[in-house]
Amino acid sequence: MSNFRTATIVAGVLLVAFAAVSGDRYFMDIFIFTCFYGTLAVCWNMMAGLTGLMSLGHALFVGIGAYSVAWGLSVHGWSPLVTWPLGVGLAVAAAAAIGMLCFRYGLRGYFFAIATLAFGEVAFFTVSATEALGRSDGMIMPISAEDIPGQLQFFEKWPYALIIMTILIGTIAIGEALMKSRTGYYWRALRDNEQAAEALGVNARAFKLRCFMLSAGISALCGAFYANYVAFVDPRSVLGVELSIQMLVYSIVGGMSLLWGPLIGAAVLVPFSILLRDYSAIPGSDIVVYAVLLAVLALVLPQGIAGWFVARWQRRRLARRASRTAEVVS
Amino acid sequence: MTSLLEVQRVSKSFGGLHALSDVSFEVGAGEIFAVIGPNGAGKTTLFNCLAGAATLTSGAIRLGGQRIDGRPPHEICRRGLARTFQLVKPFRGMTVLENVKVAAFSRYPSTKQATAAARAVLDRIGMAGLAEHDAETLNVAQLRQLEIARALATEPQLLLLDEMLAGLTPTESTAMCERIRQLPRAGIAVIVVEHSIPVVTSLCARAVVLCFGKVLTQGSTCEVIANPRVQEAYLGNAQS
Amino acid sequence: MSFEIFLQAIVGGLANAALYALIAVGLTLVFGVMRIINFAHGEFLMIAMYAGYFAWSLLGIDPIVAIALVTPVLMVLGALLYSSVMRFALRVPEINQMAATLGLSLLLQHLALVAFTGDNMLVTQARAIAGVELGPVVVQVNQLIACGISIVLLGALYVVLQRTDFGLIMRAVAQSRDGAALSGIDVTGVYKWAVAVGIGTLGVAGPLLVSLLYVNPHVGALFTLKAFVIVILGGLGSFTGALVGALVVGLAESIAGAWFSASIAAAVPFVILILILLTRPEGLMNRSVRA
Ligand SMILES: Nc1ncnc2c1ncn2[C@@H]1O[C@H](COP(=O)(O)OP(=O)(O)OP(=O)(O)O)[C@@H](O)[C@H]1O
Ligand SMILES: [Mg+2]
Repeated sequence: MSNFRTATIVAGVLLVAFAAVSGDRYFMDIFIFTCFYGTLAVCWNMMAGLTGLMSLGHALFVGIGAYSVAWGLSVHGWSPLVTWPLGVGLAVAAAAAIGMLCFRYGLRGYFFAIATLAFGEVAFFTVSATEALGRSDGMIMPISAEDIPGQLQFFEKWPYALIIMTILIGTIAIGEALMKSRTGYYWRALRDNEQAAEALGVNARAFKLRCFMLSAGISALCGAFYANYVAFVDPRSVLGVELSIQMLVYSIVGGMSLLWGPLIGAAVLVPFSILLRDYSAIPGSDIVVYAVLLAVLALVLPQGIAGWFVARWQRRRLARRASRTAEVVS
Repeated sequence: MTSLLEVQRVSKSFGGLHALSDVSFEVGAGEIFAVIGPNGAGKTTLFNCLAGAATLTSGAIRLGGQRIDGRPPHEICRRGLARTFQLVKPFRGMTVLENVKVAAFSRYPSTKQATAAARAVLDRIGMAGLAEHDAETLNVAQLRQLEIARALATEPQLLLLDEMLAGLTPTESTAMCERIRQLPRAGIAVIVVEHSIPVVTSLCARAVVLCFGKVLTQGSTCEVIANPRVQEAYLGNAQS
Repeated sequence: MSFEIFLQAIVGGLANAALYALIAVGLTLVFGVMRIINFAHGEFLMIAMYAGYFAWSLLGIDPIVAIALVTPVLMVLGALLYSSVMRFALRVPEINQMAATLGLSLLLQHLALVAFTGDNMLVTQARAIAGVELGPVVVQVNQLIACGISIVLLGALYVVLQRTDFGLIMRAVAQSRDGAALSGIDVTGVYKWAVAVGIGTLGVAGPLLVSLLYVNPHVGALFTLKAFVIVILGGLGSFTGALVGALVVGLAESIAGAWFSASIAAAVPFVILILILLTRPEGLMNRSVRA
């Protein structure tokens, strides 16, 4: 399985972590949220770090997924078999619409970031004002006393952990396959120099759109999972800018040039911030730590933790190879 | 001689500035053709128009008999027109091989074939030793070579080279000229933009001279160079 | 909607617009010169609002007087912002620039939360409830004062930027960093001053705003976004553009507020932003054609 080396390693690490936390509900919860944010950060970074499109409105897609599930279940009693595809479909359609508009007019860099931010905020305010979606109070999903596997309702946490692990591993596997294919090369080319990429036969608009739609679809999947797991959605938690910024934080800290970099960021920061939130006397101290890390690392270590290690390792390897050739020559 | 590229009365203006007005010329298959002119004459703008990076104000461009003006750059590339940039634009986050692979993907969608094609191009252009180096670490001459390698990997019929020799040492530019001279043998026609007159006369049989966006004269390189109006345009430029 | 309500909305919108313009001009000045968008702009406004509030509640200083105290403080903060963040941000890619200033914005928000709690605070003087009748419409006295001071300051800024050597140097740097450096301009000094002035304007806006609007740790984010909208509307980096953008946003918001619910009115600036990004991403005012 050399084609899916990263996905295999990630799957192995996740299984070990899963086994390690399986005895404890609290740690299982941390594990689940780490996978949740990790998946979001990875798919966000497919756009930002690998294609050069920084979206600050990704919460919009998480929200579409989450609200599809919450609304479908509480209003119509729909099963996840209906609501998950609905959420993902809507999010992909929304990304296609937003992407077509933005890319048609060549928005990039700051402009793309602020445009997506605006779309996200419009959704936030619209949902906050919509009676059918519970306004800013959110929607509490009906839960029954016993497990209903068909509605993804479990008392135990491990089934949720398995679901989000599957989503995460799937995301990494898809990402890995794409990065090794033409699509991945085109994405990185667009990130590095769009004009040159176009001159070399890259259909910039189509490939950016593809990236945006994929990333939005995975985000919606995560959102749908979130709704089923937490059984409560409100605009702040699934549509707020803070969520979009979180994806940025994990990516910056982990390393944006690597597919799996953001996962490292999430694995370090999510447990840390949950523990800090639960055990620190000062409210919001988790976010203070985040914020400082974000600002400092963005300036001092632009390639992130994982990126820094990989770069070091590569330099070492190159140096070793160079010294070896030097020996041969002498 | 069948003409590969037909440029007909092409004009391009930026606001009030007429960067190109009524430019017409033809380039035959397998020919090396020169576009010369003083700084700001509109040579790069012409390339941008040909490659689809800029839209024409009026006029028509045909490649192999088919209209390409108004088409997006990636489509023009697939139809067989490749270009290099005067200011090099490497993909800095990739290795040399990966840079070339991006271009090769336009002909070979599968990774395996694209890698093979990219390696073949690097071999041909003498860059195989740099394949695994990061594009960031290359020097000017290597970056120029990379520009050419990428353009060649799209397997063009027509290659546009924008001031490929500027900033190179004499040895480097001789090697580069030699490489350009080989291209027609592979069935690739070339248009060069070049300031050095000796290089132009040694490489190209025919040339067009642009000055303030207008065609001053065109024809065989020797005649064009000898034309007093051309000399005046250049000297005028040199004095200013 | 009756004509009076409409007229009232227009007047309210105009008054807001002046203050918005003042806030947005700082953002556009920094962007124009340094090409960095400061996502923490609103948080500095928040700081200025708190400063205005505490000057009044602890020391009994009238917000109008407090301007004279708060503005220098904010200018110093601006200079600090330059030497601690912006200076380094010049060297990293755009995404990292955004990340750094976003991080700063989060940090300031949560430090404010720790220091001042999440409670809403407002300067409530006797004149806060006083109004002036202008024909059929009533304008709050504080709104009128804020509007007047903003206009005076905007005028002064305009004169400084257009007529003085300092303004000329700034515009030169904005147009071409290298060109300016070659002609012997101390570019770093200009950057520092641009950020100091850009943040300093918030020192005027903050105390004025806190007698109109509650301050809480999250108020800045809202204004950052509004300032983005205004600045993009007018063309990034353009001074007069920001004035026009502020007019559009101020009026649209206040008319939508009279027409629809508050939540819809809050979404209005973003709808405008989306429309403008999609139709004229270079801004309403910008006429130059880019290739
Ligand atoms: N995007 C643009 N917007 C406005 N004006 C432009 C643009 N691109 C080029 N120009 C103008 O068009 C004219 C022609 O420029 P061009 O770059 O084509 O000249 P050139 O012949 O390539 O010069 P050089 O020898 O210096 O490369 C110049 O006056 C230039 O300022
Ligand atoms: Mg040129």
